[in-house]
Order: sequence, then C-alpha cells, then structure tokens
Amino acid sequence: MSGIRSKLSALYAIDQQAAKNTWIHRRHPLAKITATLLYLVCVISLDRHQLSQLTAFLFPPILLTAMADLSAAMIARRTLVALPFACLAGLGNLFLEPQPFAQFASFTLTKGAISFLDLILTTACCVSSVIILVATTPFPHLTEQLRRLHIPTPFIALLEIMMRYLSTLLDEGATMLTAFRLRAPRQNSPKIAQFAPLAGQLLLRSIAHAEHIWHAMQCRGYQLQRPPLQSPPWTCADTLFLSTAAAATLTPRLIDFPAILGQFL
Amino acid sequence: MHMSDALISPGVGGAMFVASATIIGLTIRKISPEETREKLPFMAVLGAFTFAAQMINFTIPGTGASGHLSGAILLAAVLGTAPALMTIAAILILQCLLFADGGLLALGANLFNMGILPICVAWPLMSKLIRRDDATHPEKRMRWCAITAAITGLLLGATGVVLETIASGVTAMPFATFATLMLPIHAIIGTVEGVVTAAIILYIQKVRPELLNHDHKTPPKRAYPLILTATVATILTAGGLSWFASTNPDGLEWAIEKNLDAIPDEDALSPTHQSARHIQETTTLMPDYDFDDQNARGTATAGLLGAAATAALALALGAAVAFIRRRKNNPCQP
Repeated sequence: MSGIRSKLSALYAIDQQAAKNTWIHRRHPLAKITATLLYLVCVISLDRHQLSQLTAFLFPPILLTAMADLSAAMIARRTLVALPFACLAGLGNLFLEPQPFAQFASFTLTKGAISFLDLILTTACCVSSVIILVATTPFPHLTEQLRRLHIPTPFIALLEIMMRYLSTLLDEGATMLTAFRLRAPRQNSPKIAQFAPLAGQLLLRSIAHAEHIWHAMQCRGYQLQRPPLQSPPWTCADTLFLSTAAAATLTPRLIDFPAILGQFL
Repeated sequence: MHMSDALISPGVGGAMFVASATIIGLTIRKISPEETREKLPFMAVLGAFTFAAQMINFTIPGTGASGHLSGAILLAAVLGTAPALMTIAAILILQCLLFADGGLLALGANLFNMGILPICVAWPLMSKLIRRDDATHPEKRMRWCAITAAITGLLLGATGVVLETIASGVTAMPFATFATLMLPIHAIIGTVEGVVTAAIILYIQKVRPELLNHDHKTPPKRAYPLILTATVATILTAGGLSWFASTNPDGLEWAIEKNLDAIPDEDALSPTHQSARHIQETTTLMPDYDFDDQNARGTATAGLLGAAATAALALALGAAVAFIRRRKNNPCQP
C-alpha cells in the first residue's frame, strides 16, 4: 500500500511546487510556455555532433531551478526516468560511428560517443525544461491557456477531471490491496490468474465512485463551459522575462560560445 | 514507447503534431455534447486507470528490458473510437507534463504512435477480421481480437518510432537494425497487453455488460480518409519545415560568408589587432581550435574542453544563485 501512496504523493509533488511564490512562479503562464517551446525548438534543432554548443543550453534549466527554489533532486529523478529509451536509441551510434572525433593525449573520443552523449544531454535539457514549466505554473493556469488557444472545452474538462480522479483510483487500489493482503497474508502480490478480476473490480469500483463524484459536482452546478479563470495581467516583468529567455536561447543557438571558450583554454 | 524531444527533429515533430492534431480535432468534433456529458466521468476514470496501468512496468523475461501497458485497445473496446482517442490524448498530455514521460514537441508523434495507430487502425481492422455479428464463440473471438489488435497496434507504433527517429537524423542505425531491435520486444509487450486487455474486457462483459461500447464491430467509415489526409499533411508539413533544417550554415557563419570581402587580410590588421593576436597565440593552448599539426581533431577537442568548462560554469552559477536565495530566505543561517 505504501508503494501506491508514494506514487500518489510523487504525482502531486510537482503540483505542490507550483504553489510557491518566487519571481519565476509569478510570471505569466503564456510567457513561460512560449519560452519553454522556444528553448525546446533550439535544443532539438542542433545536430547530433554539436555537443559543445549544446552545453550552453544547460544554463537556463539550472538557473531557473535555482531561481524558482525547486528541488534539483526531484528534477534529476524525473529526468532519469526518460533516459533509458534515449540510451537505447543512442547506443547504436557508439558502434556505427567509430570515426575519431577528438583526442585527449592517447584517448580518442569517437563520433558515436559524442552523438550518444549529445542525445543524453538533449534528453536531460528537454525533460527538465518541461518539468520546470509545470513546477512553476499551477495546473489550472496551464489549462486556462489551452482554453485561450481554442482547444475544445470537453477535452480540457477531461484533462482536469482525470487529474483529480487519479487519486480516487489510487485510493481504491490501495484499499483493495490492503483487503487482499489481509485475506492472503503469505502472498505479497496477486498472482497472474487473480490479476484480471482484481483489475476489473478496481475499474468497476472506481467507475461507481467517479459517477458519485460526477453527480455531486452536477448537483452543485458544475458545467463544462465554466467562466474563465482570472489570469494574472501581463506586466513589464513578463516582457523582461520573455525577452531574456529568448536571448538566452537564441544567442547560444547562433554562436558556439563553448567552442570559443575552448579556444582560450 | 514514449518518444522524448531528444529523439525528434523540429520538422518531424511539427509535422506529426499537425497530423495528430488534425485527426484528433476532427474526431472530437464528432462527439455530441450530450455524449460528452454522459461519458465524461467514464472517460476520465478509464483514462486514470490507463494512466495508472502505464506507470507499472513489467520485466520481459530473458531480455533485461521492461515494458508497460499502453491501454489504447482497452479504451477503444470500452469507449469507442472517438472518446478513446480523446482520452488517450488527455493521458499522453498529462504524462508529458507530470512525469516528463514523452516530450512536449514529440507529443504529436506519441499521439500518432500510441493513440491513432492502435485505436483508428489496429482495433477496427481486427474487429472487422475476427469479430462478426453472426460469429460463434463470441468470447473466444473477443479474446483473440484484443490480443491481435494489441500486438498490431504496438508493432505499428514501434515502426512509427523507428521511422520518425531515423527521419529526424538522431540515430546512425539503419532502418533494418533499429526495427530488429524494436519490433520483437514490442511484439512480446503487445502479447502481454492483449492478454490483460482481453481478461479485463471479458470481466466487464460478464459483470456489467452495459458499460461496453456495442457499436464498435464495424470500423468507422471515415477513419481511413482521415488518416490519408493526415499522411498527406504530414508529408507536406515535413517538406515545408525541412527548409529550415540544419544543412545551411548557422546565422554567424552565414553572416561571415556573405561579408567575406569586408574581412581585412591579416597583414592589413592594425598594430593593436596584431598585438592582441600575439597575446592570444601565446596564451592559447589550442590556437584556431587546433593542435600544432593542424589535425582536424584539435578543433573538436577544444570544443569539448569548452563544453566541459561551460557545463561547470552553469552548475557553479546555479549553485551560487541557490546559495544567495537560501541566505536571503534565512538570513540568520551561518
């Protein structure tokens, strides 16, 4: 049960980070979304051998993590989850690109190793930037921006309700697992043959619970077409944030600063 | 099978986003407001169930790899095509934002591989081939339909991942090698997914049959033209966006190339420039990013040294900002 509870708390950990009140948290959601998209486009448009240029893109996520008072360990943990698939895709490059790329004394780095490292770093940059966006912007503000982009209302309502139902479902799961362990104390987890009835039962119980919540919401006047949220006004600080972010993203895309720095070393 | 942003180029990511958004947008428009109101809690709870199921990885014996259920076939069987597509889109967006599972720019590709292909292609196709209104042994047919649809859906999705990664130029692996790595493992995951999906569907059919979607035996007639339109849109968008791809010189190189005549010869440099050059040559370990023998690897080595220095600088700056913030928040701390 503790496993399910810890998953539930991990799920809402980022949402809780968004409730902080730093200068970054106070910026307009649209400014943060635009800056993140610009950053992502610049990072992934680099060639797979431009490792040195890519390192300049480490500045924005590291600085934003520090400025927004976010937990670096949490961001690192979430980033690690995304790495295995990138490793799988990049592993082939190690063997298929044996041409030498750089040499340190007798140690030669191949092109494959560079593209492998580049892929890992790109993944880390992209994943951490999205986590920072969500950890500094409350979820209702993000969905409000989707509404303004004319995404259909039922879809946004589905996103919001699904986010809240996750806890309902995990609570039901925890209750069922406790009941199972009390009935079968020597079994830690259900056998495969028991899995389908348990999963089906979990689904049916969650549906029943969700229907109760839905009816209660409707009794209290819930409508899909709800009035828009009061978004924070766009201020000069938002313009400053967006222009700084754009400069910090576009300049290293156009100029390879680390290579110039390497010239002086 | 979630693709991260690192595995995709802006051109391919943009094209896939256009294709997926077109298909999903047109599909969502087909759901009436009454149907939405009626099915929304059901869609949300099934979405949450699929979300939770995707969080649980199972080990694939003998491979060292692991996989998770995608849930698309379960959604298609229970909800029907349009609500299932809407639900899987919501799941993938939440996973991308909350768990960083799948990239923001790769969202279109993930929607296509994990939502559109299994829900609009694999499930209707297998339903048409295996399940018929007048068929005998409906339970047995439902089981085989779920298993084959899950395998087909995952194999199609995995092929999509391979094609999109190769088209993005991220990997040096040829198509055949990458496909050989990806397809067998996804066939195994698909089999497990199919067995679990079939068991859950049959359980629901036994306990609460009214919950199952009963109009899914015939595939939606408009799905295929929709996919064809999206494919054409993909090709056109990819072609359009590839103009911006990286074979051209970057901004600085372009500017220098255009102004070659304006750059003075070395001999024509002023004394100040010449002394500055002399100081630089004396202090630099790798002049012109290169070793003394003009070995081309020197350029790359200098670049890597610069990269390491930049990364260290970024970390140091981050640590300094965090330290200042902490001191500001707790001025009494030593």
